[in-house]
Amino acid sequence: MSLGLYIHIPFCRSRCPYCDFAFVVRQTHLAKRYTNAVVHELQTQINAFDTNTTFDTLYFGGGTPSHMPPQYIEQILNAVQKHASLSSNAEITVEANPGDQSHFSTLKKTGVNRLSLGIQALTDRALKALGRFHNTEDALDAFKAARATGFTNIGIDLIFGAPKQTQEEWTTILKEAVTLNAEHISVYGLTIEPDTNFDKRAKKQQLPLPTETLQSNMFLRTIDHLTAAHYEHYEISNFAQPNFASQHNQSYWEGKPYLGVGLSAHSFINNKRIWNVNDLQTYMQSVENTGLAVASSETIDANKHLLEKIMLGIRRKKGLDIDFLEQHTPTQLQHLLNHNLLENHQNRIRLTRKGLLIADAVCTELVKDL
Amino acid sequence: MNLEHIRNFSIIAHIDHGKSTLADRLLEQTHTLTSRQMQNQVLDSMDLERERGITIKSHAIRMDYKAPDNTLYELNLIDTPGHVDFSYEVSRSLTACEGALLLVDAGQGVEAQTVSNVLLAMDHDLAIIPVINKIDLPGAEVDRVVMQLHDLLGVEEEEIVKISAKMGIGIDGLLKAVIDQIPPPSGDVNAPLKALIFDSIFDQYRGAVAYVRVFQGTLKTNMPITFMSSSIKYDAEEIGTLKLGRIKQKEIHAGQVGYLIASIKDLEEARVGDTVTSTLTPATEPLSGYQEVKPMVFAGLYPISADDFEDLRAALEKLRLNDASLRYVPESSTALGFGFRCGFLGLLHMEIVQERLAREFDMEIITTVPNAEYEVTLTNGDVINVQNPAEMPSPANIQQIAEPMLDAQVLVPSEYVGNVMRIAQERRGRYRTTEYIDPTRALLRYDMPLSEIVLDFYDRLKSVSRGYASFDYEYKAHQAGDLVKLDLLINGEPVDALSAIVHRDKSYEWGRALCQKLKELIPRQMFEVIIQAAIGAKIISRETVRPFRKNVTAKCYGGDISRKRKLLERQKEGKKRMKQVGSVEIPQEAFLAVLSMET
Ligand SMILES: Nc1nc2c(ncn2[C@@H]2O[C@H](COP(=O)(O)OP(=O)(O)OP(=O)(O)O)[C@@H](O)[C@H]2O)c(=O)[nH]1
Ligand code: SF4
Ligand SMILES: [Mg+2]
Repeated sequence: MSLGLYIHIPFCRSRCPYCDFAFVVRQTHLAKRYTNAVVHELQTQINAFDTNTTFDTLYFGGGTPSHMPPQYIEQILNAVQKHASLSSNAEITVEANPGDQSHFSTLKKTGVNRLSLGIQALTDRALKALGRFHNTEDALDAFKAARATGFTNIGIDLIFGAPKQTQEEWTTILKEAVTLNAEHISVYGLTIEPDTNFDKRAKKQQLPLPTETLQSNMFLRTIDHLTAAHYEHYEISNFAQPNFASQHNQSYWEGKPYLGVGLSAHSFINNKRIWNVNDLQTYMQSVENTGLAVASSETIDANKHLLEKIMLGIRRKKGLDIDFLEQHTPTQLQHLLNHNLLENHQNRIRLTRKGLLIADAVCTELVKDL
Repeated sequence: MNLEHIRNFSIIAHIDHGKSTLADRLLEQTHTLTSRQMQNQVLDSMDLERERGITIKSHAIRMDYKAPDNTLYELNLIDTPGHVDFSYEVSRSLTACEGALLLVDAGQGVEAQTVSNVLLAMDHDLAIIPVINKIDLPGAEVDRVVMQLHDLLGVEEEEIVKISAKMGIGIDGLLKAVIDQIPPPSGDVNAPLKALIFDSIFDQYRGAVAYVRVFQGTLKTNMPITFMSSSIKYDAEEIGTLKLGRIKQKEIHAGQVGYLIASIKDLEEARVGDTVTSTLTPATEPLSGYQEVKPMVFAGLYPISADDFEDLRAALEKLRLNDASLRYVPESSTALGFGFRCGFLGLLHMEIVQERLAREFDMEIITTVPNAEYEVTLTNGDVINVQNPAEMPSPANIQQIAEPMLDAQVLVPSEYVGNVMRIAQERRGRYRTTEYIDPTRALLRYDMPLSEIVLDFYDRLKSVSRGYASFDYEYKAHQAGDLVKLDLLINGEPVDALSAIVHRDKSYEWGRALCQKLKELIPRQMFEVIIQAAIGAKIISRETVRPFRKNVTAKCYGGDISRKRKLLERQKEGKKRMKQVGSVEIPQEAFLAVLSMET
């Protein structure tokens, strides 16, 4: 069996006010115990498969994996190789934040071949507005360090729509980002997640976000700017230079199986989605006692599968096969094509520029009768 | 049973004054029910009655009472509902009786339905026993209520029975008063049979069960009988008297109350108000029956899913078996598809029907805003009844529109008279008279258009009087008014289910409020939604719901998929429950927007 492997590392330097991931701050003293738990869980999970396991992609996400001493990443990688195999050209990504440059060369040596840098913005004002712990210079330094270490596949993350952001500021950030010549750029519209610090501020009317129209213009500017710089807009929030699309993430969108290990990690295997607990202590104790820390699971039946396929597929430039949609939702497809929200490109159905901006609404409309 | 030893009476009162609780005490005192059968408001047997703590249907029950002098009496009691929607139940019950216990809550005093019930009882020439209930309440104002009753009925304090139904105080005295003051029934047990059907229910296994009061002659088991208005003939298969269940008897005779079963499949054949007579020796004249109950408010009921139309029809048919006051005819709406226009006695009745459809038949339905029935005179002289605003003919063909007017009475402490007058005027009420039933309580009479009270008049009344005003009404007549049809358009398309008939003077305000409310209720969509109110071709108000500019999830990776799909599932289900008008999705609540709009 071949699948993707996701490993969650929850440690962060500080709390970003918009973040709703499973993370902890100032807890790196737990890194050793946590790593042991991850290795333990990994072993239990792999042993449960009745065939040999090969991982095509490996992704350390977080949290901030780079924040943890890199020897632990190495320990996990060794365990992966011991209990399963990694395909020879496997994409091995580690998410990294500015400030963790000193760990880069060790990561490189242990076999990591892709870095995903959480740069988020490239003006000091925007970084501050986002509550990030670093400034522009730190971000640029981190990028340069990654290159200097020899990483030839670097992705950067950017967020638009920061409080009080203007189109000018965002354009400046885009321009600066393009000059870095990163292989991959993920661009996320700032999302106010429930119970985050930003959410609380928003509820108190103390979060001056750009208007929806301005945000949509920023998104359009992003698409124009990055495609002009020869990035391929291959998924709603993802842009890549030719051949640098993230293999790991694409496997999610293609419905391929994946194993998730670590705090709050999700797995998708044999039509079941299983997810782990998201409290760190509970996770470690549970794994130490039982080898696993499953919170819950659901079976992805035919209908759920169909919904996921459309939901994920429609976000991609590749789109969905026209016959497939004709078969399942002909009326809605026609309706959305008529309104120029979807388009037919060589018998693949994808979002138009207009459709991209309201992709969620288009998707709901598309699956309405399913 | 010797007629001298029979007493037939109803308990009547304003809502919540304690009728059903008193019935409990009487049943207890007369050992009619075992202690195992006993529970609070035991006669309120429907689930809805028990949950809401109100009586919806009259309940008849027979008690065998051994008086202190050891004489055995047969007491036939009918507990009646207090809510104005069901006042026809009261008047039907009264025809089966010679007397009524008029209950007044010692804390509340005389209220609007107290007054109207007194008038009803007087119309039926009944002996009225005034009873002050809830004397145990800390806030009981017995003296004040004595005065009110004195003014209302001309009775002296000694004639008033004071009780606490809850605590069981004064029940013996009340039973004595029943025996002493309510005349026994009269009627020749050997004369040709005349039995009045005063109520009926439908029994799944036995068909229609008619509740009858025999006025003359004797109804015997197996006797061939004729329903006089329809001339339909049956055999009296089973007859009997009423306890919590039915108690079979060989016969019931003049003066008695009981039931009749004759394998009648259709309730229509055992119509309430009809007279049952003997086929062999028939009576010549039927008893004077009842005026047919007329529904007062009308609304469209539509299944959420078009596939459920036939199920809804079947459910309404079943409900109607036990609720003869419910009317329905199929109708269709461009916005809502196929459904039924239903007639109800009032808003409470409508609410109860909706709730029964939901809980007993699992029907998911959309209800349109209730409206009155209009009498429209066309330019060609024809007169038509319009029960659905969408069906109002075009103004060019209308000579006049008449709307139902009510004879409305509000009983209110004098300090709130000004407030009540203000809202009555706002609601186009025409003032008639004020009477004082005691120095601090005024009874205001108004002619009010039904359409003005349908929606929220009662709530408004309560709020401007700190809850003290009570309200009662009766249909009076249709009356011409300056009424117009107001249409609601969504992206230029009229939404028939949102049309309304309103007074011209109020049409602008109405249109504006409705557009604003809809703007709140219609969620943002992919396209702009324009909401307009119009009279004929003239647009009088406009609102827009702005479309999404940006509606896109940023991240959708391995750990996001399940959550994101669940959200999608919810949104998709939400969409299914919405109604599509053109390319606009309208949530169900929007069809009741009028109920929550602010004017
Ligand atoms: N304190 C007190 N409460 C009473 C008395 N009689 C009835 N109640 C309460 O008054 C409320 C209404 O009683 P019901 O017997 O349901 O009144 P009802 O007149 O049958 O009401 P409808 O059928 O809805 O018109 C209940 O909460 C009773 O417990 C009484 O004598 N004293
Ligand atoms: S560094 Fe990343 S994971 Fe950690 S709090 Fe900030 S956004 Fe969240
Ligand atoms: Mg009652």
